[in-house]
Amino acid sequence: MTRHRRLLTWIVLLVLMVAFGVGVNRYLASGGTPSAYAAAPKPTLTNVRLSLPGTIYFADDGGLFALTGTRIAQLQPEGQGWTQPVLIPGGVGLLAVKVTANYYSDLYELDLAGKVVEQLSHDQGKVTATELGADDWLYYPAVGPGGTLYFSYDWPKGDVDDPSQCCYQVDFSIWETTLGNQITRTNVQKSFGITQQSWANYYTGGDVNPVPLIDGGLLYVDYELAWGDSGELSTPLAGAVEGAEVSQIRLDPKPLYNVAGSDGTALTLPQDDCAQPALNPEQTEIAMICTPVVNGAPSSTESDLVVASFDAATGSLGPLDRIVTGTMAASPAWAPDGTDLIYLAPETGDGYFELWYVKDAATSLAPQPKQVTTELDLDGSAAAWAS
Amino acid sequence: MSLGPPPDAARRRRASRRHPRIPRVRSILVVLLGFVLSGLVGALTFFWPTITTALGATGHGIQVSAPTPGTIPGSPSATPTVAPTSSSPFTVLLMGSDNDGKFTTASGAPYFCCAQSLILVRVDPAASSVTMLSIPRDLWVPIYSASGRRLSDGKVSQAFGDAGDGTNGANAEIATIEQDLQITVDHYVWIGLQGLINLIDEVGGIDIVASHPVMDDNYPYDVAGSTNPNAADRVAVLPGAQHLDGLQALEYVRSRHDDFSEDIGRTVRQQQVLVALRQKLSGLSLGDINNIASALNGEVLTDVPLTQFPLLLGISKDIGSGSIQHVYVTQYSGGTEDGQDVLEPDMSAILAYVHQYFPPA
Repeated sequence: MTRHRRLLTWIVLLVLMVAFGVGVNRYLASGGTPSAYAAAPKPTLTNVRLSLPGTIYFADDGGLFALTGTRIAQLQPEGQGWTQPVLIPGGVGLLAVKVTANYYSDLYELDLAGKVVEQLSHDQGKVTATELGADDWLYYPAVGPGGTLYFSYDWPKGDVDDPSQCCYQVDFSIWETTLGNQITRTNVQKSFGITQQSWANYYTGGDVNPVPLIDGGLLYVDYELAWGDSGELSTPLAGAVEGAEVSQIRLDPKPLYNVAGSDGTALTLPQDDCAQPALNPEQTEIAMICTPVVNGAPSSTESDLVVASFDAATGSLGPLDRIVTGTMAASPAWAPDGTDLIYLAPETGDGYFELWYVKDAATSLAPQPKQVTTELDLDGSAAAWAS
Repeated sequence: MSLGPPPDAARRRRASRRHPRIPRVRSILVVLLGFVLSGLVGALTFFWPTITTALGATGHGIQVSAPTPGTIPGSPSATPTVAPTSSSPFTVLLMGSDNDGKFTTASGAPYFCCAQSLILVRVDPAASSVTMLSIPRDLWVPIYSASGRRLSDGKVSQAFGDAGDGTNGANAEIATIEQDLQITVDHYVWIGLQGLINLIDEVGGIDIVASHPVMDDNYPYDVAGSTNPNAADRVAVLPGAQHLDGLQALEYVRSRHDDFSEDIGRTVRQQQVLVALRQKLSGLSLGDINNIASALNGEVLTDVPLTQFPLLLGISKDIGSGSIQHVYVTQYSGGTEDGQDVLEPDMSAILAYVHQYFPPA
């Protein structure tokens, strides 16, 4: 090899070395090593593993979506604060809550294609530093027989008339009206056809998840202190720390005749910490989420999917059957025929909630959950399953 | 017929052919080394922001001096800083607070109020177990300076603010907790409010099971661009499974007004979010390191040396969520000191409780 060729070879090698270094840098910069935290894709672009009959409505990242077969259609765009879609009985439309973050939420009626038909509630406040307590949260809409609408509303608040104290005590109570009635804070009184149906335990967060019964009764979830100076529970849970809370599913057989202090009867025990009740169409089976309680404290990393028989006439539940455990199960909903269940849970041990399916949830001896969606990160609000 | 070269000449020729091989092997090695070095330089320049951030945030050693003898019976001596090993248990103090200096003293200087969150973590790698102990911020205890000098009594969280800035505040907080609880703190990690938001956003949010509706109409609106430290915001985190972004997660762990027991309620949630965050960070990939370092720039301080982080991450991955024990200091009663609502400790009960989980110094 001549001297010139050798020199040329070294120059070429040096250039290649520099190029390699630059290449490594650019490879890393271009995300060549994939991030473990890539943003979830649009639901409409994700793969659906399992085709279920009917249509499932759900919320994701502030948008509304409908899953039919293996196709996800967008009803409302993401980032708009949409959550908690529920079906109007008869499948004539949807109700959904629209959240304006850190301010308020309002209730809307939509058609099944996601078009807004009517805004049903109207927050009246304008949050400023000096106007505390002027806005309201409205969540958990549910429509019962005859178009009776139930919802959770954080009014009345404690000390709302004392600006220096307002508003430390903000708890949901359950209210009732007729679907179509306009809901504003000034309207939430009996003379406007909007009546309070539950009275929250103070400083607990209050009462949520109303489920209307066919005979006019009402299921709902209340939160109680597992231990505290005021002793909300007659028997504090062993090991509970001050202020720890548990939930119970309560049955109020005649909510329209309710009076303050009448909370109905508890269907579940405090130590079962059950919430998010969903009834099958015949209202003979209840699905719910119960959190394992250890030393008086509900688990923060596990919640079980539980099924039990339900008798509205006697106000009793059968034995609790924990059909899915060891995960963060949430928001069960029954199939229109009342046999199968869907619920939300992470794909793996934590995070990124997907839709799951359990066939013959009430009767199967060994239920086998199957994952329906992939790559989503659902917001935890209930999905609605229509025929 | 050729008889070929004589044997000696052949050997010489073979030898002369062998010599060029040595430079050739050397040349190949040089070229390979050049590529490796070039690649390392390329990677180094990419990770440079991370390296500078990490160097700036880590290795802020604990420099707590021995306390004045006799100030507290059985008080610990100077704190030994124990480097984590793969098997020896160690204790870390986690502190969370604001660091934007939004409050000022009478002279107009930035005033860092206090550590809003204090969680002691005992890690036992051999047993693959973790114990998290929350200390209520309003516990009324003797306060110590970073040098171990006994100051006045105050809320335990105020030790952080009395020293005046993040680094020294951490040392004063460690000294106070070591002296009052008679334990040894091996390491500390401090994170600012905005740092927590940034970190959770960077990992795509966290998913938790909220135990009850967390409601607050008087939540401090002092991050995310707010310029009014007294402004209020509204919070509603609904019960059940929830996906929280950074700001929502901060609201979840910081809100207290609708908690019956105020601070204890949110300390339970703080531990919950830390566990969810640990789970999320266990999937950390090389491609996330720069973004996370950028998100935490100036928002994290620790005395843990940078070189120990791979070991700590390894230990963290080995410990399942079910092996984490959550405990809380609750041995106190409500009271008033210096015109403030405080928690009056039952110190003997607290020490007996704490020493079940954290060995006495």
